[in-house]
Amino acid sequence: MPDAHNHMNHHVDPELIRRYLAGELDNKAMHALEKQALDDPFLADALEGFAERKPDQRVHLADLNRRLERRVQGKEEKKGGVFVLNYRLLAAAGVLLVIGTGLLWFIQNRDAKDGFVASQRAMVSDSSITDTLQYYNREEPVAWGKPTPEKPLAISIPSDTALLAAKDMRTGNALAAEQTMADIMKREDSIRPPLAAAPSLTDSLDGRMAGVAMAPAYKATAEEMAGRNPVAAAPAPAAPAMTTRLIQGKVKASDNEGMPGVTVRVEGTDKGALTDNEGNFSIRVADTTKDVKLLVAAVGFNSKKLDVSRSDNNLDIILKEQENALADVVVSGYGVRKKGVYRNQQENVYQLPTPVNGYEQYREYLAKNVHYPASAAAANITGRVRVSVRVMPDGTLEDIKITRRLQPDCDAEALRLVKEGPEWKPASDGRATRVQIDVHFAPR
Amino acid sequence: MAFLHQNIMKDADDAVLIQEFKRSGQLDYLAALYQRYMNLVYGVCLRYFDEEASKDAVMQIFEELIVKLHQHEVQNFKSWLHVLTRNHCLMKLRSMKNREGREISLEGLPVMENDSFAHHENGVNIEMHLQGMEKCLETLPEEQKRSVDLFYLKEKSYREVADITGYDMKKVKSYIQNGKRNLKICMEQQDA
Repeated sequence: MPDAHNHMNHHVDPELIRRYLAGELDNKAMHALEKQALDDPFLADALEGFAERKPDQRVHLADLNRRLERRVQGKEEKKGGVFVLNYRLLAAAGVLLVIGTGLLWFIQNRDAKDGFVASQRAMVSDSSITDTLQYYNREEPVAWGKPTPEKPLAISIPSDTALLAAKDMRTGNALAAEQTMADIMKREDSIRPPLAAAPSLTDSLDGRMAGVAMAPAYKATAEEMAGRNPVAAAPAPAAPAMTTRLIQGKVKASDNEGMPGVTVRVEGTDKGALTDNEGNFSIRVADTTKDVKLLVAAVGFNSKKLDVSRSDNNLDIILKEQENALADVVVSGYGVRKKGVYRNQQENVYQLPTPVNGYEQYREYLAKNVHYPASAAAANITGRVRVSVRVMPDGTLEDIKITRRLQPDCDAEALRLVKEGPEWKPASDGRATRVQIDVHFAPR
Repeated sequence: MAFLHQNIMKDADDAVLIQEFKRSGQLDYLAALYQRYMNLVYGVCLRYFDEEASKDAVMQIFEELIVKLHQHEVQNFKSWLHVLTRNHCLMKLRSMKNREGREISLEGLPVMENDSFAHHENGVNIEMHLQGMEKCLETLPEEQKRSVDLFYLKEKSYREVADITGYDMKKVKSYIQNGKRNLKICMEQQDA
C-alpha cells in the first residue's frame, strides 16, 4: 500500500520531483504529486524552488549527501580542521620545547660519565617526536580540546619551527651516527626552505642541537640512536596500533540499482556511513585482525548484517525488498491545538493525547485485531476509515464518530476497534481534545 | 522495546530518531532523519539562493538542527524543519541585504510564526469534506469551481486541467489553492 508508506515517512523521492519538473511523469503521477504538495506546504515550497532552476539537480543532491556523510564522520566542515591542527602543533611544540630545553641543560651540566642517562633522555625526546608525527599525520581530526577560533594564526609559526627544529635535531643525530653527508644534505634540503619563516629561533636551536649530537657523551649511544632514527623519520606509517582500513562498497537493490541513503553501521561502534546517490559508501575503521560486523539498513528493505574479513575491503551488498513492507494500519493524531500553548518552556511542552503505550503499540493492536469484513472482501473494497474521538481529561473516550466512511461493515469494525482499544493519555493541558485515527482495510 | 531498536534507522518515526539523537548525541541518527527531508530543504533554499549557496545553507541548517533539537521539544519535525529552513534563508537574505546593500524583495516572504507549524494540514480532511460539500462548491467563483472539480474529483493533473479549461497553468494552480482554501472556510462555517 504505497499510500500508507507516504504517511509513514513524509518522504518525497528527489527523483520523483526531478521527473515531475522535467515533464517525464504521466498525468496520474503528476496529479498525485500535485495533490500531495497542496497538503504539504514544505513540499510545495521546495517544488517552487526546484522549478526556478534546471530540473536536474542530481549532482548537487549527491554532493549534499556526501557533505552530510563527511559531516557525520567529523571531517567537514570549514572551521574545524585548521584550528585543530594548529592546536595540535602548538601542543607538540610545547612538549618539544620543554624536552629540548631540558636536554640542553642536562647535556651542558653533565659530562661523559652520565652518557647513559643522556641517551635515555634522548630516547624520551625521540619517542615524543614520533608521537607528534603520528598526531600530525593522522587523518581524522582528534578532539583536542575545543578549537578556539580566537587564537591568532601567528602562534602556529613558532610551533612549526619547533617541530622542524626537532626534525633537525634528528638530522643531528644522524650526523653523529656517521651517515653519509649526501643523505644529510638531502634531508636538510627537504626541511630547510620553510625555516626562513623564523630564522633566528631555528638557527639558534639548530646550532645547539648540532652541539648536542657532537657531544662526546653522545657518541657511545649514537649507533643505537641511528638504528631507531630511520624508523621514526619515515613519514606516514606510524605505530601499528594507529593504522586504519577503509571499507568501501556499494549497496544495491535486487535489480542491481545502487541505493542512495542507506545506513551502513559498524556494529559495536558509533561509526557509520550513508550511501551516496550511486549507493557507494566508505567507512574508515581501526585495522584489527577481527572481522568487522556491518549493519546495512534501508526503509522497506530487509536489513543485513555481514562479517567483513580483514582482506575484504570492497563490498557489493544487495538488499532484498521486504515482502510485506509495513502493516496496513496507520494511526495519525490530529487535533486542534491552542495557539501559544505550543512553545513554552522545556518542561511545559504541550502534548496531544496519545495511546498510553504509544502509537507503535496502538498500531500493532489495530493491525492484529482488525477484521476485514466479508462483505467488503466480496465487493473488493479497500481503504481507510477515519474515526474521530474526543479524549477527555480523565482519558476516557467520548463522542466517537466516523469522519470518513468506507463501507458500512468496515465503518462498524473501525468503531469497534477504537472503542475496545487501548486506553489514552489525555492532552497535557488537561483539556478534552479531539484525535483522529485511521483504520485501514485491505485483504491480508 | 527491542522492536524499536532493530528498526531504528530504517523506518523509525521522526520522533524516535530525534529521541535517539538526543539520548546518544550521535549524528548518525540526525543525519538519517535529515536525509529524509534534505531535498526539500534544498529546494526551499533554491527559492532564495543559487545552487552553491543553497548547498551551504543546507549544511548550516543541519548545524543549526544539532543545537536547536537539544533546546526544543519538536512534535512535528517536518513542519518545524520547514519553518526553520525558511527562517534561516530569510535571516541570511536580510544580513546579505544589509551587508551588500543589494535589493532583495522580502515582500510576501514573512518570517513564519512559531505556531504556524501546529497546523499541519491533511489531505484526507479535504477529501472527506468534499463529500458533503457540493453546496460549498457551488458558492465558488466559476474558475475555482471548475479547477477544483477537475483536480480533486476527476483527479486531473494541473496540466490536464489547463488543457481542458484553457486556463493558464499558473492560474490553474492558484485557482485550486484558493478554491481549496475557500472550501475549507465554507465547511468550517457549516460545521460550527
